[in-house]
Amino acid sequence: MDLETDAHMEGSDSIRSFDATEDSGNSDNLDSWLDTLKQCKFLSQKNVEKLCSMAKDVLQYEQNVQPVQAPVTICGDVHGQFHDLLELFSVGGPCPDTNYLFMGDYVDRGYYSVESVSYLVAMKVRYPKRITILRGNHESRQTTQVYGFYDECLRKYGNATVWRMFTDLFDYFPITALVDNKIFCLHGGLSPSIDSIDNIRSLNRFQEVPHDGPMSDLLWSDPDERSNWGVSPRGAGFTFGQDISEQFNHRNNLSLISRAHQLVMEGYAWSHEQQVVTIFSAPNYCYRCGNLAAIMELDEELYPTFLQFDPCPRANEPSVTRKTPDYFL
Amino acid sequence: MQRSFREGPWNIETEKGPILGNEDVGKYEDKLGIPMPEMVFGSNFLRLTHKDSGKFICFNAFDALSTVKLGEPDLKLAHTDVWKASKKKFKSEVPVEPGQTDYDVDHVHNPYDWTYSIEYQGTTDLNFNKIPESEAMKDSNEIQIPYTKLQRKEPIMFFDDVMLYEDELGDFGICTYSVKIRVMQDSLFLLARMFMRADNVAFRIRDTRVFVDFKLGRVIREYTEKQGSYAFVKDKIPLWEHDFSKMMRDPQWVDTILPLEKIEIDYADI
Ligand SMILES: [Mn+2]
Repeated sequence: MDLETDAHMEGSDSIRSFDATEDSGNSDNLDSWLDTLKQCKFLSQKNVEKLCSMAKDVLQYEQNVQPVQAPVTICGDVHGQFHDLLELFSVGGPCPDTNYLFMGDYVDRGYYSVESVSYLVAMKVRYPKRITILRGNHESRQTTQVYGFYDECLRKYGNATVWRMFTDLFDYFPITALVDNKIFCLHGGLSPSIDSIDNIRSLNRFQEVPHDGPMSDLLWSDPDERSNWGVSPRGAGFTFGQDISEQFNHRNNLSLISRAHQLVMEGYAWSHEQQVVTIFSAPNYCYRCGNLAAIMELDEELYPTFLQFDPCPRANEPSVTRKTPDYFL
Repeated sequence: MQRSFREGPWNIETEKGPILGNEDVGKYEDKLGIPMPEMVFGSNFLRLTHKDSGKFICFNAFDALSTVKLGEPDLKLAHTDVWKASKKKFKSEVPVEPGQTDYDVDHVHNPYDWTYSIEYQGTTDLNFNKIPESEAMKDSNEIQIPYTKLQRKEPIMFFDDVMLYEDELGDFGICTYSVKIRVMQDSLFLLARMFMRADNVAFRIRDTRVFVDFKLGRVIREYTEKQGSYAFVKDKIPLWEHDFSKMMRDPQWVDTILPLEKIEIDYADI
């Protein structure tokens, strides 16, 4: 990582934090918060508190399997790449004219997790029927302490309160969505403890993502070329084969499982003979992969069109490819 | 992007491009028989070619990944035992119905070193002679990389840093392999580093350093292994440092903490 750029960015955080919208909480406020965020300035701690409490009011009534109607545009991992998130909305069309469904992983890794998650949550509160935000495995207390969101909150706010407010809010995010009863959307994949979508409805999702069990599987598992359930070579966690996807889709009368969670060079990838699609929406992931991002537009007939996009060039984003010589030993 | 430096007795070439696409990942996996890291910089390489003899040493992703060990890995995730126990309990409570698919938590098909902690020291046709291990450990050893010379800030005529692969270990850590080179007036120095952190389990660093003295025509290669538990490294983070995750993903800092477990030196005269 380019340390010089990193240090420079840390220094500029306090300048960017200017936020002139301290009072009340209604849609006027939300619009001004969204404007603030669009300039890549983060909200004040007080406003984050208001925003999170408004968001809880909306999200607590959503279901574990949140119903969504087509047309809708489905997006994968964002990982704090805020400028690319704005690019995503310009490629896919502005919300609320376009309906959106995000499949988790808004925070960690990128430099603007705070801005990214604040923006998406503010959009959710502003247009609750137009945008759906699911939970990814990074929307958890445990993961964010290791992969950057916790540190970013400390750096930008000087304390861990904002991190606590957001991670408490993550417990309210729905874990899956169902588009017109046909396309099943979630962050990771299937679970051997879940045969039917109805099994998911009975889970208690209002908790930290557990280390194992169905909720953990839904946020963590991966499709695999090998058939049946597999245990990840890491020793814990599941992979599922094409036979499992076929059975699940057949049993639940689905046409497709749409998931995120894995980096793919083209931004999207089919697997299991088009029973499963992976969507990844962070271009040039971690500022060094050179991958495309993609989003999937579903029309009224649920016909998918993939829109791919490149990273949005910004002067103050770290460039990992240009390195100054150093006297390493 | 391709770069090269052709002054002196060696040609130095580097290439940097994006990660492999889906199709190429499939080809690598078919050839190597294991899942690939999330980010494989397949077109990247660093190659040194001796102009007169044509002998070379090169670092590239495919050759590096072909050294990933197959079979039962020696590390597993921190919560593996708890995870397996709970799965077994679940199975005994909810018996599998006929026609339903089953799973066996004790069986990983096709196990391999999922941490990608390779011992790759480059691809080469140079005739390396290994010096005895007992010699390599000694400070008085005649053949060794001249670190005192390298600490002098001689002008750098060419520098590059090339990534070969990176994997986030399924969000349970990180593994990276990258190669750095600096070329001075009369010598060059290269560091190829495998850095691995498995969260709540362990850290590993495997370094290959190559030093070439242009006048002497000698290539010295040093390979070291360092390893330590996660807790051991975490304990060493200074109290005043609150950017905890930054320290945990900084190979340079971790390198100063981990104990040396192995050193090998070999050399080739040209
Ligand atoms: Mn994920």
